[in-house]
Amino acid sequence: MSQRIAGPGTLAEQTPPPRSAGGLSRPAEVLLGIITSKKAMFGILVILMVVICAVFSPWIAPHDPAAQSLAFRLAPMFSTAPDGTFHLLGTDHLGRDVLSRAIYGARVGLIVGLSVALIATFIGVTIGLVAGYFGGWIDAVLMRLCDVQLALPAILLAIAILAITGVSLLNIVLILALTQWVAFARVVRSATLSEREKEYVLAARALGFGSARIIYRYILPNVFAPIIVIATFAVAQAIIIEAALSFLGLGISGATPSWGAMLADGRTYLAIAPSLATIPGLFITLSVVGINLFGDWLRDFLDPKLKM
Amino acid sequence: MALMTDDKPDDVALAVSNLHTTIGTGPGAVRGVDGVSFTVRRGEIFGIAGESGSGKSMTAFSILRLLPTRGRISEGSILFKGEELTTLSEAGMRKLRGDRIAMIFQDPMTSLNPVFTVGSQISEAILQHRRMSATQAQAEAIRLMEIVEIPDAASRYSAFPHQFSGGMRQRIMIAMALSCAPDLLIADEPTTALDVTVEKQIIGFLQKLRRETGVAIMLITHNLNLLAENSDRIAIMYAGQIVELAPTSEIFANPRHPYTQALLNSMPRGHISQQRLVPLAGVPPRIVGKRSGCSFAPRCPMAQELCTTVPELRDCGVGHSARCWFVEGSPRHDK
Repeated sequence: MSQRIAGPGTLAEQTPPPRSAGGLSRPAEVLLGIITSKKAMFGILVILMVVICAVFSPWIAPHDPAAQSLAFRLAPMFSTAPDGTFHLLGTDHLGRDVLSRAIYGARVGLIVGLSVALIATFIGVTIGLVAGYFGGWIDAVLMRLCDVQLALPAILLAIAILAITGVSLLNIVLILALTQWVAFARVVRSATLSEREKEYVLAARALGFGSARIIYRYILPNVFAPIIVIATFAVAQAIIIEAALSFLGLGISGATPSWGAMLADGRTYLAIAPSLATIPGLFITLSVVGINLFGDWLRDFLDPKLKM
Repeated sequence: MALMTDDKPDDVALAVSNLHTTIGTGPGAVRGVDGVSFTVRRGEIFGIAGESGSGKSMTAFSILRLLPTRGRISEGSILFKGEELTTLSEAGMRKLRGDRIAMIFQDPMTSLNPVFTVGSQISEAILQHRRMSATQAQAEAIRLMEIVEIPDAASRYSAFPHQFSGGMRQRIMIAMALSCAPDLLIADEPTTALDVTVEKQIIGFLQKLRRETGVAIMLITHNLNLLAENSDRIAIMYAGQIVELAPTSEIFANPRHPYTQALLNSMPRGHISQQRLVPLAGVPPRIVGKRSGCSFAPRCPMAQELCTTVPELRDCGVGHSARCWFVEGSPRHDK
């Protein structure tokens, strides 16, 4: 019988060993994609800068972000204090170095952004998978829950809950996650709906696999691409809302440098020292644009319709 | 049916009797499978043929109870090796699926999970029903890949489905189906998406399999030519019912139901060169609610007044029955 399958036999000889099959390995493919796209390059550079600022802030920041110098308040950009210290972006109303505070501010932004995205992904993906796979009344209940969540403005909800629970980093993260999971749930649900009708899911059921295994092994890996994309947007969204909350006075306390709080503080001095409010604003804008651009590129990159 | 009484009980792999499967509920319910009865014996290839929507796949999915959300078996019995499946719990069915009853599907391009290697998927299928270590499962998977004649099986173990051709993927599906040595293999249009040379390989493989392991095979297809050479008995389905059931040679030599005759007239047959093909106009109806007469009557050239009464399956030869009022030489009713 072996001579009958000469076709596939020759195919096997031509194909390189499976591990390197397909020419490039996946990481190399991603790297190449990033390098060849301006969008992705810009996005990844901004993200890298924010991450480096956050992780290495004590080494990068020229000054202690909490050190006050009441004698040298509201100094403009590029000014040197009487004691000889140089303030590239000036000082704020308590004489603290703006650049150092902005660098340290990346920490809060990054922690909030990442942990919110992580928690929201977990909640939303779980709900979306369950709703999409089982359908029926389970789907109806979970999706109405989404509708309720969508009907409440994120900021308003966050303010209301923070007013009750009190402000802490943990509370802010949890509340923001609560406002972000719906996007995941809805996208994952619709992807699951189309995925569960695929023949390989039916084949898996015909092999005797249970629902949990089918969801975990067959559906989740196949709806993963949109999840990554939404997660990047959720990071950006969380950074913005966190800044907005700080601006509204519901952010993490003033001692911890945060872009939103800096913006709020600087607003009072907009007439005398406009850079105080605009610099943290620029940091927020730049990082959000960077993350969004990267997410945008990722979406295009992972969209199989654009390939081959 | 006459055939059933001839069978020794342990020779019968599957006995379906009076199976009804409906989609939806109430007056709008569609009768997907409507009173289907047949047996499949050990080592037999039992063909089910019919147009799209005739209920052949629905019959297969009823046996495995993999019905669409709103579908359910409303009546009848499915005896698999003496075990009643219609009353079995979902957990019991899950144990059976892929272990004692396996199924392969129409489109091998989409019936493998694209994100995992073919080998790991075979291993997973093995581990689902058998107790062994992951290393043993891997060795077993490679052995199965060799059985289904995947060249260079050991190194192809870690290849992804997209690196395989359609025929190779279908062989992987068969390897997964074989992983637990099933008693019944349901092949739902296994070669429809493949070209004819690959079709020959796959069917040849199924033939070899039933000779060597005695697995009973239900071969579902719309291609009667395929069944002509590769099945022992054939059931022709129309609008959810079996309209003719006979040994393969009988179906081709002596078709009794007008629908079977129309099907045979509409397809080219290799050995008759001067034959004119007669197309069969129309589509099979979806049966909603009560049947009013023979469902084939609207397309039937022989239809008469009598056909407004629902016909039963009537014997018209040894192991041959047809659901038509005008089956000659069959005065007695089957039921």
